[in-house]
Amino acid sequence: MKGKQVRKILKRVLQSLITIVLLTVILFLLMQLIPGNPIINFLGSNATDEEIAYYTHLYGYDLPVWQQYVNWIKSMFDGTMGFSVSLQRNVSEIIFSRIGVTLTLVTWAFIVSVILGVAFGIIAALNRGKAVDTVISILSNAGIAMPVFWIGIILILIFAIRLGICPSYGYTPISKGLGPWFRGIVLPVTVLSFPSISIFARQTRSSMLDVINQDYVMTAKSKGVKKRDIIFKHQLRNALVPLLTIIVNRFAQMMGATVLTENIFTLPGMGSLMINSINSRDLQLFVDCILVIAVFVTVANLIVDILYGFIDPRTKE
Amino acid sequence: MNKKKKKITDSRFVRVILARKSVVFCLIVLIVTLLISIFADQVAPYGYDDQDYTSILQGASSKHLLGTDVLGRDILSRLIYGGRVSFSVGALTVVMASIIGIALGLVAGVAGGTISAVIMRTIDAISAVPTTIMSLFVTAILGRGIVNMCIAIAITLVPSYCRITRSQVLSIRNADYVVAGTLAGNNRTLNTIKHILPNTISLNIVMITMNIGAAIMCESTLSFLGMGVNPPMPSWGSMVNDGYTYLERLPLMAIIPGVYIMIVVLCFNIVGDAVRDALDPKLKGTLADARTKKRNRMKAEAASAAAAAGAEE
Amino acid sequence: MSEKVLEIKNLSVEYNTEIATIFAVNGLDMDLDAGETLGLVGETGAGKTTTAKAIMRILPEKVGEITSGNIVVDGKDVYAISEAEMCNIRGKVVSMVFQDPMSALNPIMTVGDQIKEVIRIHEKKLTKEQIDKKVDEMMELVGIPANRKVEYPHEFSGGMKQRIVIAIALACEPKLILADEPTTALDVTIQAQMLALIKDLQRRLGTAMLLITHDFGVVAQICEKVAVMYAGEIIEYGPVEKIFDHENLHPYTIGLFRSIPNLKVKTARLNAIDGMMPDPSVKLHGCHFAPRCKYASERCKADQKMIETEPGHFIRCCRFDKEQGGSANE
Repeated sequence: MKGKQVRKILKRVLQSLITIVLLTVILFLLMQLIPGNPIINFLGSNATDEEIAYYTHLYGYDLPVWQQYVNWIKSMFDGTMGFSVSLQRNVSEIIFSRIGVTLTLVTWAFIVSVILGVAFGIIAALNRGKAVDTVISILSNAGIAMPVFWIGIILILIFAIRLGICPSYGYTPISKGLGPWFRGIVLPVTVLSFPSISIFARQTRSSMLDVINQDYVMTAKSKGVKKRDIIFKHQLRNALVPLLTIIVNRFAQMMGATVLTENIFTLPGMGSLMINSINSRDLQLFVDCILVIAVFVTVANLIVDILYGFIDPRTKE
Repeated sequence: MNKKKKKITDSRFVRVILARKSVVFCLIVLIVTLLISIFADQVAPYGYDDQDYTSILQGASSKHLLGTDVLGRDILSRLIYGGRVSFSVGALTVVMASIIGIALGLVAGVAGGTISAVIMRTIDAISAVPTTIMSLFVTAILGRGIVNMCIAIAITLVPSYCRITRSQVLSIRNADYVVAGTLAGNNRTLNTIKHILPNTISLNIVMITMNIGAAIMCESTLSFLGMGVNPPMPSWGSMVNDGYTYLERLPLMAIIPGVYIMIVVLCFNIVGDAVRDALDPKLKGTLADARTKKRNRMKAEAASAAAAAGAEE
Repeated sequence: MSEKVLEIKNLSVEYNTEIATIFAVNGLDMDLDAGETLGLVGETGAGKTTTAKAIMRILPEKVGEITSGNIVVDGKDVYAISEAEMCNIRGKVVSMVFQDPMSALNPIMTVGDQIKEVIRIHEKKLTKEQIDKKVDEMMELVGIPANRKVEYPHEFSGGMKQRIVIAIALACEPKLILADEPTTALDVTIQAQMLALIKDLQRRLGTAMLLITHDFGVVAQICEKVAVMYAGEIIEYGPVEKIFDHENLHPYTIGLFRSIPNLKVKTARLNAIDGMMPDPSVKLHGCHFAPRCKYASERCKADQKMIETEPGHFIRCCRFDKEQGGSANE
């Protein structure tokens, strides 16, 4: 049994690796289609042909396509992740200086939305048909339909412009004090978690309702299990099984939504870095950012798949 | 017995959908919004690019019901025209994504082996990139414009169609009626199209209706980031961005297009949920079903009672 | 005689759904002595499971409603006590075995933990080791090796799952067990095994049992008394021998017996009872079976009483009412 499980996990890890490798190929091929050249953009329109030729050679853009791909992959392993023409620094340095903000945002938004979303979902399911349930359903439906960037703008309007209690832009590191850090991060985290809270609430509600009248809940009741234990030990744990996939998928989507959040609140994270790299046509940098995010997402998926083995014994085989 | 006319309300699908008042309401909202944007030339008070330099960044007035933007363009008119972008992107995207996704899913499911592995790993790779980022990347490559935007968003939606189709194919591939089709002498392609494809359709229709809202949302996001349609063509997302600059002075300019997006996406989502419930065989015999059945039965009873009364006379 | 573990007086249960009100049980009386086995027989939809759920007080919330009557389990009025007190009764005094073992166990809990849960709730004095020992005992008692307690429900066959469900129901040695068609979902061969097991355990532990079934064969095998239920009412009640001697029965019971294939008599066709069960969303008056009964007469329109035709044998049919000139015995 044990060996079987280990082999299954290894197979899953291998699959994830293949996925990442395939992704590098896809991204690289797509990048070849890109119009415009980071070098022309970097040098400006006054650059002479010699200058362009010089820099094109310097950064290896004149090599055959396959050679460029190999060089790129090599750069993943030598710790530089390639060289950003527009910022004139190694990509790994740039990403390293930016990723902290993004991860802080996503982590907090993730924690907040899982806790609130699941809680609202349980409340709605337990009060099915009552006013609380209706309110939660309406809010969560609206929450899913609201554009993230729009929520951000509304929050800025209320809390930054009208009330003036939070800054409308910029990031304050936690080293400058807990208060300023919190004020700076609370709006972006709210924006980022808003759609996820709604989705989690909806999904938790419907999967709770799916299990609420299952026979095993009846069995538990007739064993004399207390109501609270029935909810948490029997219903919620079973309801969480299908929820897990959705939760991890939202983690990925949150990584994507940071592009908007960081753009609106001008936070120095990966999201704003990606927008900058598009604007300066430094697609090398952009693709590296995508890859980093994709690795995070793939690892998260991997962890959940392995977790499933422990949470849902039926998947072990 | 005279032949009964087959009414549209006899179909379970229509019955279930119409049984919910909220769904009917959303359908009406959507149809009205759609018609308004189709007939924008007739409905909108101004053209989307009519600039009025005498009134720049004005609030609501009788001349401009929702005010004007920085170039003096009427916001209401731009909102109406903006629907064209959202609706066409929404529709075109799901059509493209579903066709490609279903085709890939069918091939992966029927062929199996290496072909399936290659397709599915590629799909995995694409879906490892969050949708916003993937569509941003593709528009960065292809450039702005409606069709490019559709391609960009469609790529992010293909994986779900592909997966759902493939798993459906795998679950029915060895069903007796499919095997029977092969025994009847159909070749594999023909058999797939005749017996397997129809069985994947209803799930995909659910997916399509559920995805239109998501596609419109994605479109507005791209437009907000300046990667959408080419100006001066208006789009709701880019209008929010325009308004963002003047948030302090004229907050409505950013808020109103957002409300519009929310309403349309919300309506699509609610209709999508209803379509899912209507096509879900698990839910057969539920409330809406029972209600209409009961109503029909009562009607029939009343009719037969009336007939009996007539016969007695 | 011995003490009563279950007394139901004039129980009526309604289900209020958005579509209609379903009158599931209508004025049901029933009682059960300690250690006794009563078979509750009837068609699907007669209100058997509803009765059992009402006893356990696990009718669907907000939908199922007791409109009249009371249920006394082991001296306690089930609907007069708090939910917390009821939790102490469920599993300890009365427990239930559900119809479908496939879905009656929590799929993400080991079977050992599921047996342990009920013991831990009710036997608070036991130490951890004692509880573990008790779990092992229960597993062995139903014929499953104790070392399999770390496995999950999906690793067991249907019959074994039902054994575990039975182990859970019996773990705290309740005074009454409600078995809701415990063998219907199982293969015929396993059915016999399971019945033997239940009967054996019941004798050993001295538990009373309400066995819900639509299978007269099962009743004959393990019940002492039979109650036949039709459209929310008990229409016949008596010792198993009296019912199975096929004399002087309610027309519906006769119909039920006729619909069982008899190998000794050559029959071309089984005799089905004509007609359908009445619509449960209509409140019935008079004899509920009258519309399908070939003996139906004007008198059947009045509400029917239970009539004791011989000691311990009750029938709800006016044909047996001598005072009113019943004609069934003539």
